[in-house]
Amino acid sequence: MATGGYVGKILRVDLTARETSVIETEKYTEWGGGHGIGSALFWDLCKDKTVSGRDSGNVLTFMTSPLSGTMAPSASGRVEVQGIGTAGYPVNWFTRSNFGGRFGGQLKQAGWDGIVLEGKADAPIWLDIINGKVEFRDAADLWGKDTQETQQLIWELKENEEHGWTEIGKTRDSGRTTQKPAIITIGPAGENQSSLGCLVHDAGNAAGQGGFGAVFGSKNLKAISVVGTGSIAIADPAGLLNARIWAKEEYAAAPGQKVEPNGPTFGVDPAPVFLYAKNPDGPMGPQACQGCINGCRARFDTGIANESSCQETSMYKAFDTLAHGEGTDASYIATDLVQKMGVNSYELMQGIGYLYALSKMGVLGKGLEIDTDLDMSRVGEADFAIDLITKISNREGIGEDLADGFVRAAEKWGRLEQDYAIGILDFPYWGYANHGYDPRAETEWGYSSIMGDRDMNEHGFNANFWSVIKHMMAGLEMPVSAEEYAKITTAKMVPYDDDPNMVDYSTENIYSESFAKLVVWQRHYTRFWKQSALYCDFRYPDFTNYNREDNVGITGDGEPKFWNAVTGQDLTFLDGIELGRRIWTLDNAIWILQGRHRDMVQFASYIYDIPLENSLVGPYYPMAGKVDGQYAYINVLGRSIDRDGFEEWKTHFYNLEGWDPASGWPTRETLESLNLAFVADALTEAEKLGGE
Amino acid sequence: MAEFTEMTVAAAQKLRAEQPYEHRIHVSLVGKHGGFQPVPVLSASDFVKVTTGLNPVFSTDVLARWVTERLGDAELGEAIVAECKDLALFDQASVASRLVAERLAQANEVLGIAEPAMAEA
Repeated sequence: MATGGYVGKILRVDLTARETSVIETEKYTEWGGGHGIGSALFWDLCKDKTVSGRDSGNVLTFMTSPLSGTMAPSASGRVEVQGIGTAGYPVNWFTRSNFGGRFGGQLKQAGWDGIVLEGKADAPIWLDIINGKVEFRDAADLWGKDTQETQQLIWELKENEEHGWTEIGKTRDSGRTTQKPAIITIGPAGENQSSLGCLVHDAGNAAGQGGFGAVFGSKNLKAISVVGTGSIAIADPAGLLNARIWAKEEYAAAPGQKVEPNGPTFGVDPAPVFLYAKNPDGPMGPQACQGCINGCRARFDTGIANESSCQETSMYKAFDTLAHGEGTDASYIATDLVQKMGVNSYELMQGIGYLYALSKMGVLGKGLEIDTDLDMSRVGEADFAIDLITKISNREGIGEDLADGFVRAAEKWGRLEQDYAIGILDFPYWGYANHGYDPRAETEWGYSSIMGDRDMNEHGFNANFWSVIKHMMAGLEMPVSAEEYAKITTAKMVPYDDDPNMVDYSTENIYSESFAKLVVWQRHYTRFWKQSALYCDFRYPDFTNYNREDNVGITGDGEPKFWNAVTGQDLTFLDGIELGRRIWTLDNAIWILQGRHRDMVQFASYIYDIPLENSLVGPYYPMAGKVDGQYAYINVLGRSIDRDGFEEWKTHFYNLEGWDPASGWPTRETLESLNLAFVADALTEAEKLGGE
Repeated sequence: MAEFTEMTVAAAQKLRAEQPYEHRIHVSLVGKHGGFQPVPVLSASDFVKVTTGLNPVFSTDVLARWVTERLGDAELGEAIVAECKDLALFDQASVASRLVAERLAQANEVLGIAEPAMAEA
């Protein structure tokens, strides 16, 4: 039943039998939306959770939230993707990614809250969804095409077919839309089941981490196309509109107001996020996800690397500049190619650095220990980027090794331990690339990643680092002191809001119970508010907001206000955090069934053995931390993670979660308190229940 | 503005030499949301290129020590520390870049190299 943001149905697709069925969304709304529903669906439908990501028994979910397709600010455009991935090392963990754009809105306007993919097609296909009609279509002509060619071909096909949705004279609710179908697709990397393979939508929206492109490839699924002409019922439309006006008036910068440098928060002005050495010449138009107040991407008249933003625009600039003394077209060409081939740019960026190190060490090259015809003398040139990305995508030459990830390549080459030991293989957790926020310094990023399944990519606490370093670099004074930052932030961290030490990044505090609370809170906050309600990571949480005199951001008030206006519920911020706890615990149960135990929760060796010195990263790594009992912005460089300290911290973490600290497995008491008795039963059957 | 003394051929060659990978330093690119992106610098030429084309941050102390100990140019190291010490981080790259470029040009002149070139492995 369509109500309060939900459109009422989840599309269940059996790729093997080429049949579809309907799951009533109502059965799963207790999980909120997005990730919560995805985890619950996976739990119910994936019978053997120990299969690999490429196994036909793997179940993949695409879930929207009640907010998707509505005017909730920066919470309307994202879709959560879950299933067993292919990138995790040493285990292909059940994992997640998400992507922005307009796919989620179209899916809901077509009448679907989400999609579940099961089985494996016997030949390449694509799914064609027009409102309630779903067709399995032959993808023979699409297989081998890049992500942009694929979408173009589907759009052209749809334009030439009888469908009726573009008929002049119809209204939307009678079946008309001006939209082209929204398409999520893989490129050659996914087809060839590379763990670097992404799912790409439009030009620059990608579910990159996890290796879900390879899962699509393994299922012979090239793309999903959806167009919808329906509407989304909002419980309180006036309330939603008023909430949006309230947010703008209270938290957005006024016209002409000086905007302080900040990290990703609600209070940052809309702007494309480019990290090129120099931006492309020529006209540029803004591009945003559906319903977003930001617009972090842009389109250029050249079409090259359109809609790319943030890290992918930075992927090749270091080596481009080392080769040329300036940024050149090589950076745009490399960025454009990862979008088209559907390759994870984070892994590729760190991977190029690894190949460069091996080359300079005389290990990798023609006739060397790692014998390859990849011409390392061309690093930084466009032809090198094209050669490397093509080899990985097509599993050619050295690409056959790299297509399964750089960590697995290192293992295959017999170099994993030694290259971890000297720190040149910068993949600190579960085979995922260092995001640029090193666990030794920005400890919450590392802890959250290793306690989870992937590089967490959540910028909530990281926003303050950005604010401080930007002010420091420019020689500006921070608008809030570390003491004020800590006070504002910890006050929002319910139910732990009585502990002011949670954001103390000093070496003395990073193994403490207070620091465990920080990570526990973050796991619960993000699992519901960001990954289930699908508030965008570039805007939420908003702890400190410099547009306001009191510097207090929207987080805590804003998230439930929009949620309740759309759903008609009376959810508090804390209710959402507690639902996040439940979802996070369910995810952990899945990992435990896959083999997770406390003992294997370890960083790569260099995180313990090599201090993060200023020769490795830069002059300062400023974080909030206490000195003589007072908060200050301190430089946290010069330390590594202490093995014993980390073990103490893990014990704090498991105790806070109510899990058995000996194994890291939840206890029955905890599971039953979260209404997860069925999970306790499953863990009992697997002999993996904590405390027994 | 630093006034550098004349270089010997041996000093010029040492300044231009590419260092073994284990003796690299890093400068870091810092962009909106993208994280620290350390760039390996193996030579004076690498440093000039990356600080000309980009505006990275780095420790001037680390740079000066590397220039002194690995590239054999204590004079350049002292100049870097002296001229960067009161600058904001974002303003240090251009100054250090100019100093290293000047010294590299001097080395090229001593060696009869017409244009600044890639470091010699």
